[in-house]
Formats: sequence, structure tokens, C-alpha cells
Amino acid sequence: MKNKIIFGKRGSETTITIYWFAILMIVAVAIVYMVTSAYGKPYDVRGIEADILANNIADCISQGGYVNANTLADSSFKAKFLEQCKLNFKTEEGFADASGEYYAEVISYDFDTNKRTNSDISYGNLVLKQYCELKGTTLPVCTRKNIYLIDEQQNKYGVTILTVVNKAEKNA
Amino acid sequence: MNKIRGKEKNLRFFNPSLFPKSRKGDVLIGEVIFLVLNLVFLSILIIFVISKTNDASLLEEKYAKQIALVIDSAKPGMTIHINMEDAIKKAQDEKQDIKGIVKINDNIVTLKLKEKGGYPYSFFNDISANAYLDTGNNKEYVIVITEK
Repeated sequence: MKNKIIFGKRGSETTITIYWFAILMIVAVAIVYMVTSAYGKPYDVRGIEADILANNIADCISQGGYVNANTLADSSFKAKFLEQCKLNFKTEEGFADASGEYYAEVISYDFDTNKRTNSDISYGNLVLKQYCELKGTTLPVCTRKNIYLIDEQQNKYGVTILTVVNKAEKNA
Repeated sequence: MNKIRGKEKNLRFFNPSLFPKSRKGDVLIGEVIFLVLNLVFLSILIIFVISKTNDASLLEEKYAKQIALVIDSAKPGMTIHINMEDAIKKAQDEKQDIKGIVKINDNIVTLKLKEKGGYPYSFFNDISANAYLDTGNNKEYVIVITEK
């Protein structure tokens, strides 16, 4: 009775303290991980950028559903595509691919027969087009727009506009 | 004996101290150190989170991309007002000239909010764009789009 084994409080308090700090460390690591993963990645605006590029090209080749003169029907339109549609594909420094970070393609076809016309236009880094069927955050972002147009002779055309934006170094 | 016990009882019941008086002074010191360490740890964590969320680099990237996209969608003749109150305030805290936060050279927008900062982002619209601070309220930047 006299020889009681008294379990000291100090020993158990030390154990609790160790567990407490271990839990604190786990919580801190989790918070740091969440914050760095949320704010460490850049904003990815390539989808919006590709969309705006496609809209600009659509506005360039058409107005009110009609094909603009001196565009698709004009054989010299291919050569002055960037100038006529007021596009500048130059980018700032810091991108690995020297061939460019944009690609734009316009394919037109007869709406009734589905036959392609000879008015196809493509400009930019052609290599980017092959990534359109693949998915991945570091891969270029593609946007396809299909529009229906009529020319002055009331001929109907379907036009597919493909725009690709890379800029992976600043968006992924 | 009973009186002494009663006194002891009263002392324990009405003791205003948060921690009961311990005969061993080192246990109390240990608890205080434990609390202080906890507070220091939490403070460091909170400071880290606040510094990450209010970082100037984040604002530079956000506004550079926003302005580039706005210019891409714009047509000649447009005047665009962008509220950049938080970025202007950050530039003032970093002692930067708030009139030179946004610079547009050729087709590249550059946002600079700190001495060793600067985030460039290009736009594809082939127009001429000029940006200046709205000195009326010092909260907005005005972007004027004209033909090249």
C-alpha cells in the first residue's frame, strides 16, 4: 500500500506535447502545400486567348453572315492574311519555341457538297496543330469555330477556324 | 485541522489564476514556453499565407494578362478603363512610380509593381495601344486603342 507506483504527470505531458507538435507540423505542411499549389501556378488564359483570336479572324472574313470582299474569295488574301486581319504573332522573350506561339487555320468548304474550296489559309507554327488531339496542361490549347457564310452570289459556305495558342511557359 | 482544510478549499475554489498554483515552478514555465512556441508557429504560418496571397508578382501577372486580353478584344477608337486599385496601392507600398506601372511597347504589355519586378505578356491584335493613369482618382488605368 505504501509502495505505490505513482505515474508522473510530467512523462505523459511530454508525450502529449510531442504528439501535439507532430499534429501541428502535419497541419502546417498541408496548409503550405495548399497555398503553394493554389498560388504557385500561373493563370492559364490560353483558352480565352484562342477564343478571341478565332473571333477576330471570323470578324475579319465575314460581316453579318456574309463573306467579306477581298478575303476568302481573293487569291492574294493568303499572303496578306496577318496584315488584313490586323494580327501580330510576335511574342515576348522567354519562349523556347522560336517558330512562334500561335497557329491559325481557316478552311472553307461548300456547304451543300462539303467539297473544300481553294481558299484554305494557315499561318503560324504548324507544329502546334498536332497537339490538338492530345490533352495536357503543358500542351498548346486549341479552339475550333464553325461558321456559316454566304457570298454575294448567295453561295453557301461552311468555314472552320482553328486557332492554337502555346505560351506554355507562362500559362502552365 | 478543519479550518485549515476549509482555507485550503477556499483558496482552490476562488483561485483566479488560470493555472493552479504548482509547487513545482518549472512545470508552469514549461506550459508558458509551450504556448509561446505555438503562437510563434501559428504567426509564421499566417504571415506565410498572407505574403503568398498579396504577392506583387501575382498582381503583375494578373493585370498583364487581363490587359493583354482586353486589347486583343478591342477595336480602334475604344477607350478602356481598368480598375487597378490594389495594384496601384501595392506599387505605392513598394515605392514605385504609379504612373509607370503599365507600359505597352509594340505588342507587349509589361506590368511593374516593384523594383526588381516586371511581367511582360504579348497580345496579337495589331493596333496601337497607350496606357496612362487616371489622375482623377488614382485608381484606374486608361487604355486608348488606335489604328497603327
